[in-house]
Amino acid sequence: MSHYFIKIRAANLAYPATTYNALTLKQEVFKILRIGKPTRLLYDIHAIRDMDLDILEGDKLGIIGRNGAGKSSLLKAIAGIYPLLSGKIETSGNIRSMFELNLGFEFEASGRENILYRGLLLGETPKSIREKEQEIIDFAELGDFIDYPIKAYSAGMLVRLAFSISTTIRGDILLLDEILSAGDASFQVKAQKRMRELIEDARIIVIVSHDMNSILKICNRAIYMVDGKVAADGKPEDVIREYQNSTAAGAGK
Amino acid sequence: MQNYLTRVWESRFFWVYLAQAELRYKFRRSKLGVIWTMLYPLLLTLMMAVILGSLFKVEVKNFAPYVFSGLIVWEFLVGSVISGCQSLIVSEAYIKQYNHPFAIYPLKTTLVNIYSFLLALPGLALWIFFLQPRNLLVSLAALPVSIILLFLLGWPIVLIVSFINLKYRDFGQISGLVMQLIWYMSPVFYDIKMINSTLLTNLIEINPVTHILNLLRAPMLYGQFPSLLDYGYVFCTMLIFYLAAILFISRSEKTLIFYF
Repeated sequence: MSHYFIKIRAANLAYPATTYNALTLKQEVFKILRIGKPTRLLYDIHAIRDMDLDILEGDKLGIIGRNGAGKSSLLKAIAGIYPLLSGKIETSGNIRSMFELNLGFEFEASGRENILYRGLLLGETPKSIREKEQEIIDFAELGDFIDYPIKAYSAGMLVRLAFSISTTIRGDILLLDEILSAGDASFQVKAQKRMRELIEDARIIVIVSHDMNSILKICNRAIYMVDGKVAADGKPEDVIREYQNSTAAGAGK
Repeated sequence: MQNYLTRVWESRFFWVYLAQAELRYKFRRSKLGVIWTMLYPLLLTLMMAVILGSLFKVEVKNFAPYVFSGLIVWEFLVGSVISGCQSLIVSEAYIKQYNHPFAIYPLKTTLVNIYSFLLALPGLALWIFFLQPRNLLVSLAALPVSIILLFLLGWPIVLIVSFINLKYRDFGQISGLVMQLIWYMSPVFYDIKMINSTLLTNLIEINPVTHILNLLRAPMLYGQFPSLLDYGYVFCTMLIFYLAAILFISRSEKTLIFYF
């Protein structure tokens, strides 16, 4: 029995349409009086359907599929951000997710303070962040800018800082939505090297990507998702072939 | 529930830091900065004491500390409701990134509110020091309990309004009006003895706010411990809010993410 795992059992995830269908009082009254165009009710978006999946220690799992197949929803459900409608997801190990790097920065705060914000959000302690702080600053190559409010940063500097924080604070299970890349040419080389280290360190990786080459390079297992279900599961080269055949067939129609 | 509280405790560094940061940025680019927290209730008291004092024909010297002690507790309560409405909404970026218990964001808001209350308190203490120095000893003994009770009362209030307001955004408007109504029914700016309507007197006596105000007034103004009735009211109010908060967490926390 491996120590780190993600077990998904009969999982269903739906985005309830009630949140989109909410009517204002005016619309409700009009509906009762039958004035105006009737509002068309939207249906729930069923993102994951009856999914069973075991991801075990050592798995570097790539998730492929078309847009809207439920790939990112699956990642967010594993991270515990979106609740399941039914079924369950059990995880063992410290989960680190990298979805939207730029989300949750405080623009009035300095770079140094934002390192603290981010780190604490991700469950670090002030002490453990202080130990990593210099490493983060050095990697992001921000120099004196680290004490400026980040609203003074260029877009590239901000991305570098976000990337540096997110990749310095590590976990056992790494959830990635697309391979991260950041900055200008010289930084990209560094960033790619950093990503490789990160991927090697993690016990489990789940990565969503449309870039088949990186899936082939990084992963030792892949799944192909269609309409919230696993359509194929196996070696990356086999699964990718299946995906490409089915999209080619779809395009030929 | 125990597991939930453990998770709240485990993320303590995060919400304490959020509270500190909010306080720091609240007064950014203001010359007086945090001094406003002390100055604002003082100046408001001065205006009310002079105007209402002449209206009710009472002496400003005694009326001012009465109004002040009511105002700062009231500001804490009304702040819990008004800033509470935004508590979850402004935390969207964090909530969508990491699965912390939702209750930590109301907890952060409550920390910010109690800090503002504590900053305003020395203003009252100074006043009492000159007018009624002998009340200070009792105050010293009774106040820590009062402050803790106030804090514990604030958390579930913020939590409840933040949960409701996330789903029904009309709630902010309604709660503003409701708080205005409660304000008139609470002896914040008038003394219950000034009222000669039995209906209003009865309303004021069953209003929990009256007793919450006594947590501060009894020791500071009258040199007494709050009465058992006051404590009883506060405990019952707390109990009701906590039960409601637990209900809200267990019923709707999971699906709340869809309402952002």
